[in-house]
Amino acid sequence: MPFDAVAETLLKGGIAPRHVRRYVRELADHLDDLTAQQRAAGYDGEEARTRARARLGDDSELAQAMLEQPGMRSWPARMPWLMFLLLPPILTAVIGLALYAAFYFVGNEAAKINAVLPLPESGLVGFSVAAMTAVNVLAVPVMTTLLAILAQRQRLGLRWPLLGIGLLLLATPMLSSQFGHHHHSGGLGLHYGLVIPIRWSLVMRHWPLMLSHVLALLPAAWLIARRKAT
Amino acid sequence: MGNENNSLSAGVPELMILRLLQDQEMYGYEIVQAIALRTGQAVAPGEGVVYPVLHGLEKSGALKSRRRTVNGRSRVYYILTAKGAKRLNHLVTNWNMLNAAVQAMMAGSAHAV
Repeated sequence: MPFDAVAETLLKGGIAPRHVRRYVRELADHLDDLTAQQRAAGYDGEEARTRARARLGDDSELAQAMLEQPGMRSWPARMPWLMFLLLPPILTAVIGLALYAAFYFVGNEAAKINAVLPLPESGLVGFSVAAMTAVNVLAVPVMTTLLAILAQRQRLGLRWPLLGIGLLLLATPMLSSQFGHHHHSGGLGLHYGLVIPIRWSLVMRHWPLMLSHVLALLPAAWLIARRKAT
Repeated sequence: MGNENNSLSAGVPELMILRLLQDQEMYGYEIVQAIALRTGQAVAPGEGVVYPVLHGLEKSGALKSRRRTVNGRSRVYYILTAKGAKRLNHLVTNWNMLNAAVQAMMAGSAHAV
C-alpha cells in the first residue's frame, strides 16, 4: 500500500485509527486523480505515478501535517491512565457483576420453584451455575484481550497496557453465590485478588481463578510477541 | 480564535478552503486544483496536506462531509456550515486588517527610500 509508512507514523504518534484510515483513503483517491491528470498530460505508466506521488507530498510532510492538527489524537494516546488503569477494573466489575447477578437471579428463582414443587431438578439451575462460573473465569481475560487489541491497533507502547493487565490480575474479582431454599434467601459474595499457585491443592481449590489468570496473561504474551516481531 | 496574526501565514489555508467551499461543496482534489488555479500556482504546498486541514475544520464544526459516488468514484465532499461561514468572516476580517497593515508598511518604507 502506498501510504503504509504514513499510517504507521500517525498511529505511533497517537492519531486515532479512524482518522488515519480516512486520511489514507483520501490520499489514495487523490493520488489516483493526480495520476490520471499526469497520464492526460502525456506521461505514461510508472512516470505518471511517480510525478503524481511527488505532487502529493513526501511521507514525512503528509504525516507531519496530520500530527500538527489538534483533536486528532485518540483517547488511549491522550489519557492512557484512564483507558488502561482506571476504566478497565471499573468496567470489568460493573459488567461482570451485572451478568453474574442476572444469571444468579435465574438460577435462584429456578431453585426456589424446585424447592416448592415436586418437579425434577431444573436445567436452568445448572445453566445459571455454568454461566456464573464462565463470568468468573472470563471477565478479566476478555478485558485484558480488549486492552491488548487496543494497544496493538493504536501502536501504543507496552508500558500502559501491561500495567493495566497487571492491575486487572491483582484485582481479579471472583463472585460466589448460594441459591435460596425454604428458610434461606440465598446471596452473593465477592472476593478479589491474585492467587499465586504455590501448592497444587491451592490450584485445585481455586481452579476458576487460576484459569482466569492464565487466560488473562495470554493477551499480554501476544502483545509482547507482536512488538518483538516488528 | 483571535491569535491568527501571531504567524503571518497561520490561517491562510483555512481561509482559502473556507472561501472555496462558500460557493459549492467540493472534494479534496477539486479544492487543491481550485486553489492552484485561483492563485496562479503561487500557493502550491504538497497537495496531500489539504486533508488534515479539512479534517480539522470538520472537527471544529466549520465543515461537514458526506461521501458521494460520482462517475463510479466514491469521494468525500466537504460543505461549509453556518459555523464555518462565521469563521470565514472572522478570517477575512483578520486578513484584510493584516493586508492593510502590510500595505501601509510597504508604502511607508517606499516613501522613506
